[in-house]
Amino acid sequence: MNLLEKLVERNERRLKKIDENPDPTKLWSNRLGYEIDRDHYRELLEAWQQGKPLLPWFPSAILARAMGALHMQLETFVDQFPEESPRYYQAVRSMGLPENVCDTMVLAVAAVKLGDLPAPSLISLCPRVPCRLWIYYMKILAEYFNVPQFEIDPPHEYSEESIKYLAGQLGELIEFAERNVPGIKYDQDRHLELLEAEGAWFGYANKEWELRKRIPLPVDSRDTFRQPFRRGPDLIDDTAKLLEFWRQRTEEIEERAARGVGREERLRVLWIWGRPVYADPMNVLEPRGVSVPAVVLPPTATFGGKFPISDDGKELGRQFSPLEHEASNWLSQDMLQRPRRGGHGWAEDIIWVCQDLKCDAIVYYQVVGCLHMGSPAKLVADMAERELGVPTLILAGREMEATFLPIPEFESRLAEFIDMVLAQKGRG
Amino acid sequence: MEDKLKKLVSAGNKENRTKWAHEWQGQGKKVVGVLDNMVPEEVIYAAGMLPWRIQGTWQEDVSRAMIYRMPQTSAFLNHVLQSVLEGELDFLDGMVYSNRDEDFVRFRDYWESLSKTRLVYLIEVPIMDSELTRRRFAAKIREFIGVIEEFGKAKIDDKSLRDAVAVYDKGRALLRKMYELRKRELPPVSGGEALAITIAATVMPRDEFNKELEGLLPYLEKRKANVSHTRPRVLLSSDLLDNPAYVDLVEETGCLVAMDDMDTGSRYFWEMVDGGSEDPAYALAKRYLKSRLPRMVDWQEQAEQLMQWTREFHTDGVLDLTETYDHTREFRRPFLEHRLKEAGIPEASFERDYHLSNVGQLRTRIGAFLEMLESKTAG
Repeated sequence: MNLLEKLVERNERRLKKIDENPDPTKLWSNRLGYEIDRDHYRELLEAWQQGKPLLPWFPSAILARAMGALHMQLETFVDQFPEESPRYYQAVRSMGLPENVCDTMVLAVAAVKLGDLPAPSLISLCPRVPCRLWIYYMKILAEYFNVPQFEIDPPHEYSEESIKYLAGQLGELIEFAERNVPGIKYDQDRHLELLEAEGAWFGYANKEWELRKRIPLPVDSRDTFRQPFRRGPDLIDDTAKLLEFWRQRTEEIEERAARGVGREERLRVLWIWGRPVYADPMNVLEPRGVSVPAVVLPPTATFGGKFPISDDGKELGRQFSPLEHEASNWLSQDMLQRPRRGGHGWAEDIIWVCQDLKCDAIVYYQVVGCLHMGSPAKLVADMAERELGVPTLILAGREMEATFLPIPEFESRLAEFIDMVLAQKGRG
Repeated sequence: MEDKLKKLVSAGNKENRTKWAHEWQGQGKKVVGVLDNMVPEEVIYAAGMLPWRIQGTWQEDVSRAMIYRMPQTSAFLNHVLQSVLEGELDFLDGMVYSNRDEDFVRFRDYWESLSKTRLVYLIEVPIMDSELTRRRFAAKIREFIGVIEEFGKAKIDDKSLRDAVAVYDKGRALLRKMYELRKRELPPVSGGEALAITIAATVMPRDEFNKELEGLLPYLEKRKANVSHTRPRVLLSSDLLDNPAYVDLVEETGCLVAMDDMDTGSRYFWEMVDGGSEDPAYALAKRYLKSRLPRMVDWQEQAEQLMQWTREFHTDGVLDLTETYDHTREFRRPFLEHRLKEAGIPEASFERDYHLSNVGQLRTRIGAFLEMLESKTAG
């Protein structure tokens, strides 16, 4: 059974469990969320079986769909199967690929090689994340599976010139894809529809961000770790169903916040950058009354749930074309912009998040090999301590497996840190 | 002449490498550290400042740097940060670098916090070479010119930039002439000497370096390097390798390093700038985008360049000494290995640290590769 089949089955099981034994402490909109997840994996599986175009880490997931293709975020499939990592690492070694880079990234290549995930139809050498190592990850996929590759040079500042530069390249990409990949045909009306849906999605996500400031946190912290923001408007063909999920979810959280529903909070922790999927941080945090209002994680291209405002050109006083709108959204993405400002800019943003979400402590999980976001950890820790008196625990490990940070060590270091902060605050 | 050569070979070593920088500053002029190959040094030179290539400490202990740095990151940058923390680079007036890779981008954070340089500037270099990216990079070079003008309180016009390009191109042409001589059965310089001379170019005022090398070339035409082996002939491939002792180690193990594919060696000077271009910034952009660094996505062209050098310099195989955690190079490795294998060129790849270490282990591995090359040549 390949990973997509397993994911369809897993979500079917979840739905059955919810139907048979609903948990009143969980959001009821989760049911629709899992249904969307299942539909997403099912669509991908069918596309794979029928030879339809599949695009990994395309510059824009909604643009992929507007071109009649499906976007697949390979790492987010792989990271749901940590038990497969020994087999995948073996393949990584046999391919001669580096082992000490972001593990979900390199293991995704292995999963494709082993036939657990589909090979891409087209590679765009420019992922919508700031880390340039992703480009080489894409390059390896392109070379290894002999698929057409198109190079995009992303600018790193938000300006009218950058928007035009990027939009021009997106136009060339579409032409290239239509020429080289059977089944690709850009539909501008569908693109406009999806851009509108993306704007609405940003709106819901930003509203949820506001609700996450409430104490007690109106959503379960485990839900934060599950990255609900992965469910963007590209995920399934039925855009209306997706927006309905976001409407239901936001209303439900709003209603819980109004009633003060949530676990008792003794401490709020901001979790940054990576998280071990081979272990569950909540095993340590939950019994200690710790909530996690935001997880700033790759590869969601969002800032822990804080989304940019979708700009169709009003700020520059003119109506953007759909590709300019796309470029504008891309360039205003926090994660693309902020790290380029330097680690100090990134640290300032973390300080802002800490204040905005009223966090008492930070856990900074450096993913081994993730140079871009792991490197500023000490900078963030120093600034948070100096400016807010907020302590930071820096951990370094992989996401998928425990070589660098075994589970007992992970749990004991996390527990010691939380207990220390609770004691300092007199809440121990 | 041999003394003059020895002097040039030792110009870039630890004892001498700051000499010209201090002299320059003694004349009231600024010295700007350059961290990598993608920075158009001509711009700095055109403003009357000295572009000076930064190296890291060659000592083993980088414990102070590791307080700030993540594990599994560039050893070169760890050693540079250690130098920063030990005050070895305090004399620099500024530091310029490119987005060579993610580690370089992030390195700014600590340089800004911990060093004393007044200018820290990142020049954004595209990862591909196309008409679109050349124009974009040319615009970035113009921005860089503005920054340098303001920092140096100097005007850089097209003429001064063209003059600087001419000086740098002359240096490139001289280095290429020296490299041409390496095609001989017994070349005039060893691999270690060739690297040391190229490194000298990065720490000396370029016109002074040109004068020295130009004066030495007639002597080099006749000289025969003092090497223990002339066979097998090896092409050494690496990046950020600025310690000639590594090349000496390879040659001492039993071969001749007849050519290199290194950003500190051939790739530093191989491409020339189109001096006749109406737009010198564009001409620079075009030249620097042909850096053939693994961070550029033109891997096919990089492989072809390597194979061409292998043929032209009559080498028997390619020895790759990748610095540990040079991730972009690691990613390219399977691609390159495959291309070399297809072309029937023997290749071996070993990891090395930035400072000279694991000598015994490296010698054993390199020795095994050389034995294989010898048996292949004999067979």
